Amino acid sequence: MSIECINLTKRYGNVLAVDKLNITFDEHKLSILIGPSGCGKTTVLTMLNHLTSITDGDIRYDGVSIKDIDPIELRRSIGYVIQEIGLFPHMTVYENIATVPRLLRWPEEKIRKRVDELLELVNLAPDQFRNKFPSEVSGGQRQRIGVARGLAADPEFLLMDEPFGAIDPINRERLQDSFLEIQRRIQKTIVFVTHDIREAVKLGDKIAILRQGRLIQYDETLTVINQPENEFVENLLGSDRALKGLELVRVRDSFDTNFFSLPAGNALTAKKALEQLRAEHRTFGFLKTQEGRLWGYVLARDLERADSEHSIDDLAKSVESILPYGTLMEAITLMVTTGLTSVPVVDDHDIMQGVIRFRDVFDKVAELAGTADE
Amino acid sequence: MITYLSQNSSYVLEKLGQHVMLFLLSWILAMAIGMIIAIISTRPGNEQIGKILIAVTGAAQAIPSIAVIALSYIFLGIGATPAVFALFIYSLVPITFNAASGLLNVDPAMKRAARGMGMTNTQILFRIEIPVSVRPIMAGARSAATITIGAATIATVIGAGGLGDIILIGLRLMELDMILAGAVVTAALAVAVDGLLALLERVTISPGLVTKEI
Repeated sequence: MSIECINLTKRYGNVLAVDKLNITFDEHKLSILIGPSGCGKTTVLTMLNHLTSITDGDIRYDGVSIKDIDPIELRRSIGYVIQEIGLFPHMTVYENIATVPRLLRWPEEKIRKRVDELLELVNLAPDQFRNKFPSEVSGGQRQRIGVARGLAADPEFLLMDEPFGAIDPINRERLQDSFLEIQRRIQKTIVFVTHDIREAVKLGDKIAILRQGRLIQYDETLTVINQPENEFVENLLGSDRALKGLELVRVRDSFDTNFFSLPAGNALTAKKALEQLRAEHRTFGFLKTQEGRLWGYVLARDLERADSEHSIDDLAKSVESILPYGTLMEAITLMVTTGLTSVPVVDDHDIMQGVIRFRDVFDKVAELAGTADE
Repeated sequence: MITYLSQNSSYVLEKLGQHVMLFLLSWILAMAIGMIIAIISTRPGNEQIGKILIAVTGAAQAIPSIAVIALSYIFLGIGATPAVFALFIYSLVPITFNAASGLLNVDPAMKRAARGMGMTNTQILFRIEIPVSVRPIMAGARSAATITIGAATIATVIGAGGLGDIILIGLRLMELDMILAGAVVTAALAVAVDGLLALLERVTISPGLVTKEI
């Protein structure tokens, strides 16, 4: 279920908008098209669903040439998501999402079930949102509805044209997170246009960089970051590309399951705990309950000041933890805000899995930036 | 005036009937033709024509109604037909102007989304463009109705009948009551029709286009 562009060309008069593009968008992957404005990314996307005609070359859906597919049929079989302004204001959320199923003449009962299913998928309570109009919901919610509408007829392919572009940065992050989660479940073949390199790095399995209608580089996201093809790509990534890489690497690939901890549950006095910390040359330690749950942490210097027979439970401070599928970027942010050189990693049930240390994160930065220690 | 109306109720009703006929014929015809012109001139590829049409009809609204009626008389003679024709032409202008502006102003992103989801041009027109443009379309329809009802009084000079007859005769006889009666009934008709159309607008427009932004 891949999409293959062969020598794809679009000419407007004398202007070459897309120049002999050869690219294959892999099955079940999210591929990003990125580049400065005028690079042809949106033209490519709209050629994929025949909103823009092809001057030369071909597009093949599973080997079938786009020229042999009826444009209307084609568009109904491909999800299409644009900025939230693309919602139809005179239709309810339900009617908006039902657009393509209705064009395909699904029975209303099937449509109703599907709309509810999709609203659940994008985290909107069906009973609450079904009958609302786009003007009655927030921008972020509108965008979720747009995603649901694109997925309505369960298409194999999804084309997304800067879908989160008009959303404020905080909500955009949230939308991206939940969209990643959705894609993890639905595994569609997605072509996603953006001009935001952070978004590209965060969402893309692969990134295609376009410039003046030409493909500059097309690789796995981490490869693009590690081995930019040329200066243009480096500039696009920005000077903080190593930091961007941190948004890609998950905690689960870099944390240490071998860690030191102190038992919580009135098991230890301050004096004993201090002895243990000193023996390990540590300035602080995490506390773990018998069930393995994260309790907090104690600082050696607080233990020194405290009554030596005092239980360490009362001296413990609460601590923020991170999940294994959190990013290294989140880990480093947590380290900076808490002032701790390592952060506990817990699972969904708060059971401590290990710790992630600053030096491990920093090693990763060095690796990504291609620099070395002194 | 009240006395005049009560004493001549059957005559006034007859004139009111003629007036309503003049208005309805010309207005319905103008609505139909006006919508067709507006739709054709705003189809993809015709947008340029649409823009020119809006400029022309915008300017044409300044032509006084009596001039149109006079011209119609010159070419078509006297009677109800030239009057209906003149009123039709006259109300065509606001109807086309408003409908074409409404259709042209539909957000291109919305149309692109509709097309990208596999709607045909006809489906985009009837499911998206027209429903979204109900407000400007109805605005044109309402102003055309009001103008036509008013202008129809002038049609009396070319022998079309209607409430204008009462006013004209009143003028000749210097009967203030008659003039007033003709004017008030005409105004009442205009207000009533406008009210009906406002009601129609309220039931045809989607609540989604009325509710305020949160």
